[in-house]
Amino acid sequence: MQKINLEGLNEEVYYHKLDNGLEVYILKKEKFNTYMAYFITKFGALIDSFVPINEKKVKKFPAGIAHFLEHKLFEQEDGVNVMERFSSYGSICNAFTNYLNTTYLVEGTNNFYENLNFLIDYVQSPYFTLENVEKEKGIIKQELLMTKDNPYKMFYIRVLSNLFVNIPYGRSVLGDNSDIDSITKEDLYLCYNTFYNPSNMCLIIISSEDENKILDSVIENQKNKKFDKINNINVKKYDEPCNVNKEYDEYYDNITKPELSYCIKLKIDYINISSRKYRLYLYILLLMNFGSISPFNLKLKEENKIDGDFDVDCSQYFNYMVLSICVSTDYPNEIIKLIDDKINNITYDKKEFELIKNSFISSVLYGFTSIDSIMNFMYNEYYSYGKITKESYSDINNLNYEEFISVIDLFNNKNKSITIMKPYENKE
Amino acid sequence: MKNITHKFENYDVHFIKTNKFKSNILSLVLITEFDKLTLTKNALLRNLITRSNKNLKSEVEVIKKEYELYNSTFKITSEILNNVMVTNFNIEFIDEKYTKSGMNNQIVNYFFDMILNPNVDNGKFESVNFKIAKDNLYSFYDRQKEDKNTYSINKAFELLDEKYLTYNVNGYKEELDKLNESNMYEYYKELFLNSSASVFAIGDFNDDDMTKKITENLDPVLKKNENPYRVNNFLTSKDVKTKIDKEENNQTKLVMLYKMIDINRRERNVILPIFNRIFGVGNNSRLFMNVREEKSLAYDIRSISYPDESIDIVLAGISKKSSDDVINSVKYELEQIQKGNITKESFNNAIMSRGCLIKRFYDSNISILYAFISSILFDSDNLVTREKELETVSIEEVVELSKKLELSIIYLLEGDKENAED
Repeated sequence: MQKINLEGLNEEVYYHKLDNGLEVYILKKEKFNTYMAYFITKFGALIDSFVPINEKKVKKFPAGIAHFLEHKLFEQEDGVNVMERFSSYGSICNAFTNYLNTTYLVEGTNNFYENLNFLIDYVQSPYFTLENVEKEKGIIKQELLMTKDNPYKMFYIRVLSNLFVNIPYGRSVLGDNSDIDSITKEDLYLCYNTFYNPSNMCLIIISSEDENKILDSVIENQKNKKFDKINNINVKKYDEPCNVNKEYDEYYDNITKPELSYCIKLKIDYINISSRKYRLYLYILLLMNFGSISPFNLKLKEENKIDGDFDVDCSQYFNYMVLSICVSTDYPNEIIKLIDDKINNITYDKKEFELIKNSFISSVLYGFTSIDSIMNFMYNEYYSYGKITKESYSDINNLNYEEFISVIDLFNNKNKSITIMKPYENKE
Repeated sequence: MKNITHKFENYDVHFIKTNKFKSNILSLVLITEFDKLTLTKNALLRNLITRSNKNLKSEVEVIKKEYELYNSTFKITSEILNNVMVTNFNIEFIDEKYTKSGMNNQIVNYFFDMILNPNVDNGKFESVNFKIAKDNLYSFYDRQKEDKNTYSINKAFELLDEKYLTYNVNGYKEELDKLNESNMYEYYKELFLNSSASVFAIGDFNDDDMTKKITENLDPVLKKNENPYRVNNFLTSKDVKTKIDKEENNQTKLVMLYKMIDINRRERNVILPIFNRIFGVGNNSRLFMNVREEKSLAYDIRSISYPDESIDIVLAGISKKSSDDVINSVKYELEQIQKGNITKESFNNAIMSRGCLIKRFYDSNISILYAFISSILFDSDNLVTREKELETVSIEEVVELSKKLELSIIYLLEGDKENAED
């Protein structure tokens, strides 16, 4: 097993790739009663066109199929109720689907090996029938209604759809009613057999148990299971241009105050540092100029022009960085002009840089006080960068002001997208 | 883990010593009785005190200071436990062995400086920060309706008889108009004079040094007061109030509020969590398995208990056309428990699940601290007792408790978008 030392955190992660391709990350957390395991497949809502296993042509599937599959894996052929079984072991199970992955998880304090094995076993035993697929459609449609009733979730999806021309971020992870209706058990099996192959999956485990014993148990579990060999899954690639899909968009929803999102799309180009560091430098720049630490934010609050602080973020989407500046305001058009002006007169200083870096380091340290947040840290690394490495933490420690200045030279707002969500009552 | 208590004339100090976590928490808890206006004052005070103080004149200065102190975040939270309001001033900070020597001391100084040195001149809170805090709270009130679950629960509680003190801990917009820089400073002083106070700290620190710092800061400001906490006891009544509001939504929110009549301490602390695991908490409960999974009537359905208020509620996200079916199904599931239809397996699962939750509490410094606070100041069991008592629960006790649930209120926030029935 490879040992990944997270220096400064006093934590070690163990990594091993099984013969069948399954990747396993283990973080040993002594003195803790709680354990947690995530079983992840790289199959999320962005994937709808691919060459299914043992076939030759690209096939298109209904949107929302990854999420539908997530629901259906809880059904077992022997009639075992997955939730009841976990519950009888005293643990909690759940699952979630996002744009890139689907994750099945278990959390508990007793019967670690039984639960870990059952987690792997149930995910690796699909059982779809005409009846159980039809029955699920009602539940997923209810979930869809609940999502549609959350204006802020819908706003997030709309912002992404305005940013990306070809990558289908504008769709809900659940698909729409017509997508849900059109899903069949045959579709589900094709997707399952293609993406739930161990070579496309990963296990992240946090436990007080011995790491070697855990790995032996996973190897033993996989030993007698047969899977097709897959070298590479041929998934439709999106050729995403630098420009945004929509530069300006406003619409109405069930909210009380207008919500403004000002986003900048930057191609990750010509940089000789890790994308994690690049992201953090851009994020620091946003925090200094628009975050709660900035005089810009305070002044607008004093003038009652904004409601609460600017919420700033920098996230990586494939080979693009998206810098977002969001705020609730009754004066969205005035604020857009002020943001434009501020971007043309961006400021930074070393003292603030060091303060913000300090706060990043402390945030990770805080995270390592609970099993939930350690898992969040590890999962986010896997989600964003496809692996957990020693740089996951050392990159933060190694941020430096000189590098920051050289990187932010690339910053510009040429490709920006503005989305405004207004209350229904503002509709004329 | 070791617990140490120091008793002083006007307050107590409790330490939970452990080096299991990378962070420490220090918390000052004030308990007072309240009325509708006090709730709003308290909500505004929370906004004011965390925003600036005499030495850090603006929010930007406060945030920079907290960054300097390795993201130590000073917070104030309040909750209502039946007849009392509990205001908790707290700070969580990374222990200095992971940051810089002397940092713990600096952070404790900052904590007391924020609480005891407000941004006040001539008996008034400073006006610029006061205005920002007030605007912030106005906007919070305007937005309350956006969280449909909390909004629906609050609406259901408002239908209870006023004598049961069913107020919103965040106060009321109409009361906010009455507050100004002067009367808020008066309230700030009253809060410290009229509350019963306790200090709690969990982590790895020198308790003698910490005690010294605490007494230096708090001795001059705290007075001895009694904790007036009591639990609610409802009288039986067969009336069920129903209210329906309309909202431009797809989904309908349903709240069924049950009063628990004449429940005793053991039922409240030991049996109720087991009952709820069987009835509506978790993916293995009757409501989840039967109403959501089997009948596909809801995506989201669960029960939530309010032990101090003697209330249990069912909250569900449903389609408008299914509301009668869901209500009848919830009633049916409760009736089954009342008739004793609880399998040994589901009972054992509930016990096991509760036991695991208690064990998980030991892995979170915040959970340990909150469980400790509620065992010291209120009528809860400590974690060790909770684990021990679990072994003594019987199915019969769960059935007996379930018979004490009386449906009192049905609240529906009906989604009236046209595609709601799709």
